[in-house]
Amino acid sequence: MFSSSTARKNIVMAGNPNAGKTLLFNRLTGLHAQTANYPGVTVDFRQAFMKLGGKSIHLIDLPGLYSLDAISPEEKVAKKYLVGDVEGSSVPDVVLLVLDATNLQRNLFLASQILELGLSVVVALNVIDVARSKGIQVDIEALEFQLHCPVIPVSAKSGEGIAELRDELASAAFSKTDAVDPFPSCTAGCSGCHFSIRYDWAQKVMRDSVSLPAEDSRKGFNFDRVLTHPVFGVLAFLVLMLIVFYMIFSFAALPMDLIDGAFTSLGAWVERSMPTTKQEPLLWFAIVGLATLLISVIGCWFARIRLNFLSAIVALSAAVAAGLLPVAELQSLITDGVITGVGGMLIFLPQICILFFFISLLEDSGYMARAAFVMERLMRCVGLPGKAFVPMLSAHACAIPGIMSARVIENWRDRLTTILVLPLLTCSARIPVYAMIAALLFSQSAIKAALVFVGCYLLGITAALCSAWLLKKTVLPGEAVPLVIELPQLRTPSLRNAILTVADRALIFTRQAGTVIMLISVMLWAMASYPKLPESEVTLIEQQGTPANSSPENQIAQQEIEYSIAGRVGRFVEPVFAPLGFDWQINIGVMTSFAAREVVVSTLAIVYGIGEDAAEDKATLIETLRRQKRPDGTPVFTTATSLSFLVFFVLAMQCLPTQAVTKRETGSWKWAILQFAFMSLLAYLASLVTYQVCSLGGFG
Amino acid sequence: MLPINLAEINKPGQYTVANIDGEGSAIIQLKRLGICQNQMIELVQCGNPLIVRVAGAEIGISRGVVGCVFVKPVEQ
Repeated sequence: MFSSSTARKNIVMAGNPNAGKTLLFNRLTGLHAQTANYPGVTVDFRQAFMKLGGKSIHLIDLPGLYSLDAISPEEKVAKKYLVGDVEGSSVPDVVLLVLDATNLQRNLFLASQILELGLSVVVALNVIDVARSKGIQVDIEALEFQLHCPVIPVSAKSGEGIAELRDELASAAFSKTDAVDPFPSCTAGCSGCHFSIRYDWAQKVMRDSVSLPAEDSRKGFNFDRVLTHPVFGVLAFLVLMLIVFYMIFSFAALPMDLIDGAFTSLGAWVERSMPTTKQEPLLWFAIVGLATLLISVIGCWFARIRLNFLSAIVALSAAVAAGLLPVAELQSLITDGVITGVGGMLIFLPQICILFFFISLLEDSGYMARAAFVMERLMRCVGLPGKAFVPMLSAHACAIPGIMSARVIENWRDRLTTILVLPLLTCSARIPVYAMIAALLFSQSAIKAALVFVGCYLLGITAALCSAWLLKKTVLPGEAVPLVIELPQLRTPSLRNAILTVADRALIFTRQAGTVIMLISVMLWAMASYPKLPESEVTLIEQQGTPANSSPENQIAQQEIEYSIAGRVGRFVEPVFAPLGFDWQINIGVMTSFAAREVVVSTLAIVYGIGEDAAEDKATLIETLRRQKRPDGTPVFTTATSLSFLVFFVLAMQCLPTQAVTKRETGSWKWAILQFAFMSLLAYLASLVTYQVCSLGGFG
Repeated sequence: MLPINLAEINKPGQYTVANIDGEGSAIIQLKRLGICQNQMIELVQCGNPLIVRVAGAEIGISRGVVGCVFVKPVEQ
């Protein structure tokens, strides 16, 4: 947000989508940019505080818009900034209008509306190098005469003209005179269709200032017909997505292992380094309390939470509580709560970064519009627009970037429907659960185990598409808005832009999900750790001895989790989950996996008494699960229970960071709660049917 | 010659937009992208969705909204 009261000049960048505005913004600002959120709506914009002509300016990259007749939430925000309809702000000091030199006629439509606002405007005629290579010659002086403002030919990609643009912006922002060469409205005195009149004016400007080649042969024209072909276009899209996903899973493996290893080492280091007793209780309290306070302040700064009375009280309470905790419990809080929780979230960061890298390249190249075009007809069958297909594919890596990329859908109802169903699609976090159950059911048959995986993916896709159809018929009624999309010219994408986009998205992901999941992890740790098992019972377990495949530590861990709040809740809800074939131990797994689904594997290892470390050893875990008996002597993990458990994990909303991102993107907890309730109910009913049908079929 | 519905045309060619019947965000989007009264468009690819070239750029439009656009062929 900018304020008119500050001496710093405000420059806003406006232009059509695909005009290369973001690329130019990145070129002007480099690494100084930050993402801000327009209050009240979920619209991000990039801003930077930078020096221009030795003086400080505030540069804002507004969302792209086609005209001031705004349709999407992003366009409405951009318009508000341009007309000065933002609380606490006035009209911008300068508008940096970005026009695409290769698509000037269309861009001039918006230009005519912005010029009529009477603001100080500097035009950056972007992609001038590409225009020249295509034989498009622009008479800059004639264009300046027509537009009544300075026009600087630039190439955001190569850096051509950037220095001149900076000088011109400095001159416009800091010149003594406020006089603006008035732009005569091109619709004055006309009563017809204002769209048509503006396009007529754009044609006239083109005639007077632009010389086009004899034949406008679009680069990649024939190739484009393949990409937009009803059959070959879909095939090309699927092949491209297959390549992207292959790269995501193969390139992300190493950094994921490194992150996992780093957090494991950090946990081990904390265990080794922390003293076992409090030698100086007062000094201990002061050091731990101050460290907690410092972490809280850094956390608030990172999460952009204002330090006020409430946050100060929370931070002080946390500092006092941490200072008073016994050493062993503080160590458990740090390693099992904070490090495991944060590590469990950050492990997916490489996949998210690679996904956004490719999305950025594909968007920049102009391909994404073609993907939406070819998928339009298929997606419309379930009431969604073609643009919903890309977020849906992204959600197969992780629902969070999928939800974040749903912003490409202009219509709010279509966007909301897509966001609500995205977590039904199989993300990476479900894979350990699928692997566990596939091994449990078909350890001798790789083909059958593979079919379990395929079945899970298909179940997720079917559930998402059917839920979208259902939502469009009930809660969010109405047909998807028909596709009207510009197919920008195919061009070589910018690597620099993709890297900057990845850095920005990674920071948003870490900030939004990371801070929330740390708090949730601490809460779940507390639920699984308290109340503590009485000393007398610990002594009894140690004296009684343990089964052959276990150890006293594992037995104590099993008893401790059973004695904890999570264990008690697991037993309390047993009647609710019994019709699904779940015993109280599985219920504990279900509850602890709300922070992250994959946690269920290590939780089951603990509750069945083989220890968390045994979760790494699949064979031991599977054998232990197979041996588990119910009180009546029947096995717990029958085919019916295993399938019911699997179906539950395919469909249930067990990812609190996703819920936090849903809230952020929809602007309300209402939709996050609806998503949770809907998916939980769906998972419960589907598991119930699975278990009961399998039991009746003799697989119980 | 009477205007023809753009959805009924199955041959690429140049046309002039006679009128657009309808309202809503999709219609506004059509108009601001240049598919508005008296503007010349070129039907590049038929089908659903189809592609037209207008004001130097290509636009993909689904059948749901194409039915609102009425055009006249441009005399060669």
